Amino acid sequence: MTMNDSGRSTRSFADLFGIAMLIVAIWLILAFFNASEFYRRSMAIGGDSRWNEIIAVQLTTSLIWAIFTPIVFAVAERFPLHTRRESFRNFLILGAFTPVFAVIRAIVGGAWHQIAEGNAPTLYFARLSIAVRFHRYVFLTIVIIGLTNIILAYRRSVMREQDTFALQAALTNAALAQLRARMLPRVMFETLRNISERVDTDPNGADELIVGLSDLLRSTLDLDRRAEITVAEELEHIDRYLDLEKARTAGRLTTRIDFDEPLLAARVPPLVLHTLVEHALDGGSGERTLEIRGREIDGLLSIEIEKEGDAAADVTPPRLEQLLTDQFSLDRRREGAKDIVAIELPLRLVEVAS
Amino acid sequence: MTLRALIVDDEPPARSRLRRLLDAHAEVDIVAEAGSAREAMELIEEHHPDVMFLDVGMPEETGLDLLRSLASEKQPVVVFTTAHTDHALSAFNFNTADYLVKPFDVDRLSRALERARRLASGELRSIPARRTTRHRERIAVRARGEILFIKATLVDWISAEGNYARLHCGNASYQLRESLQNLEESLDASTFIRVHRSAIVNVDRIRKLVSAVDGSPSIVLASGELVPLGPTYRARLEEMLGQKL
Repeated sequence: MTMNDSGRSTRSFADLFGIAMLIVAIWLILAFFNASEFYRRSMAIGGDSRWNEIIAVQLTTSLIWAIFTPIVFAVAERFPLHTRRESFRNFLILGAFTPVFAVIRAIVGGAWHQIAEGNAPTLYFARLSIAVRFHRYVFLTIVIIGLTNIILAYRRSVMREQDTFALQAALTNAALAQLRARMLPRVMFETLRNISERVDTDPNGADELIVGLSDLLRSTLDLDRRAEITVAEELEHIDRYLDLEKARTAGRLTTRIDFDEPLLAARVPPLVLHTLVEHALDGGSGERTLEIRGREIDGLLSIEIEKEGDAAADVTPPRLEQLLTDQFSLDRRREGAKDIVAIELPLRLVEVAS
Repeated sequence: MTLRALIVDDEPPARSRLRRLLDAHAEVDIVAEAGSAREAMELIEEHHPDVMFLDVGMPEETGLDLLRSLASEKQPVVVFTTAHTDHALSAFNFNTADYLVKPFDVDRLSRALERARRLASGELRSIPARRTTRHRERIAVRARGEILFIKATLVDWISAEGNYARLHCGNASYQLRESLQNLEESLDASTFIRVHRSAIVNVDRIRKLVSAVDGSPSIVLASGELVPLGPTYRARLEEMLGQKL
């Protein structure tokens, strides 16, 4: 089953065929159940009913029901009971529909049996059929309507879950894009300022910064286009940024990165880690050490960014901080002179194919 | 060998930057500079340079137009210098040593010069074409208790180790949890070529082809190491090196 843009479900031929087969199968099982019950009862009271006749009648009844079931489905789907505004109206409609449907179903069933025995349908037999079958058919119709509503509710909850997931992903992306949008210009301006200061005294150093900055921008644009990348690619990108930062601060930055080896192949959304690293180093230019550690903890990729030394980092806007906290269990703490940022990313390991 | 070079770029500052960077290379002799494709055409006739540093995006005629109108026997070895990655794939149809995206650093220029020298001297017949405009330039590996970033250009060759790979860089080697195929696809195809089911080699390290002691075809690297050459890849390598085994 596929969902179209408006959220309503559209069914393919294969879906419909599957549903039809399921309905027929359920009614066949019920036919055998009823037939065996009827047979045992008639045996117990000493009747002379034969199995062949009993099963023939029950199969016919069941197959007529199988044909009628989609009608009840369609009506129940059209007038669902758990809508916010129209459930009372729909309840009344279904309440009126059920006895009418039971009567029609009884008349059709009665007529069919008369025809099967070679007689023309009569009004008398129709009345008799309604009297005998009405209660049972009302009950069956209510059961089908109930089942339809349960299926609809289940499907809606699955869709809602998917929507929630999509919404969360969108929020996360928006939050990260917002943070990235704040960080990237800062890195650029910081580097450009540095280049302008060096142009006269250290043209080669300025040249190195220009090349480093353009490489970083190219790499950022490249990764930003992709839905997910490997941890190795993300770290390779971060290494570029750290090289630039080291060149900019003339070696006053020391870095160490350590991830468990299998984690290098894990898939992550691009630039999440990079943005947090940029944020951790933002504003400082004195002696600094930065350590990035990655471990697998409880099936999650747990990353810590630890910085010691010069800091002038601005505070992330509270709303953004909250989003990152909700999405990646972002946690900031201070241990002595060290600022530590910890996040957890979903761990998706992809096996290497030979 | 002295490389006689021609610089073709419509922007004077770009030419002067390249000239400054080339000053550090005593083996390069800049014989002329051109500000347009037309001017370059005349200077090629006049100087017969070994190598041409060629900008792609120029007004009137582009660098690629110039190459298309040049007879192949007059074509010098080309090092493209351009601000765009877009033409990197078609650029290798010509006698191309390298494709430098501006701004480039001294390391990349040195490598391009070394390739140009090998092409101009006939040591190499051609450089493989790029397949992607972007490629990995560093490779993260875990060694000595931390993650190290190996510059791709420092990798001599890569061998398969089960489903994983091993990078060989001089005396060091590093295990990598990636398949050879994945590396082949993500690294620069003009630098790293598959030469065996279980080996990828850095083109700049290849010296010659030999038959190993057991008679199997092999590649001799600059370090003297021998790398096996698979039968499927043999013809391509022979053509690239202009050498029959």
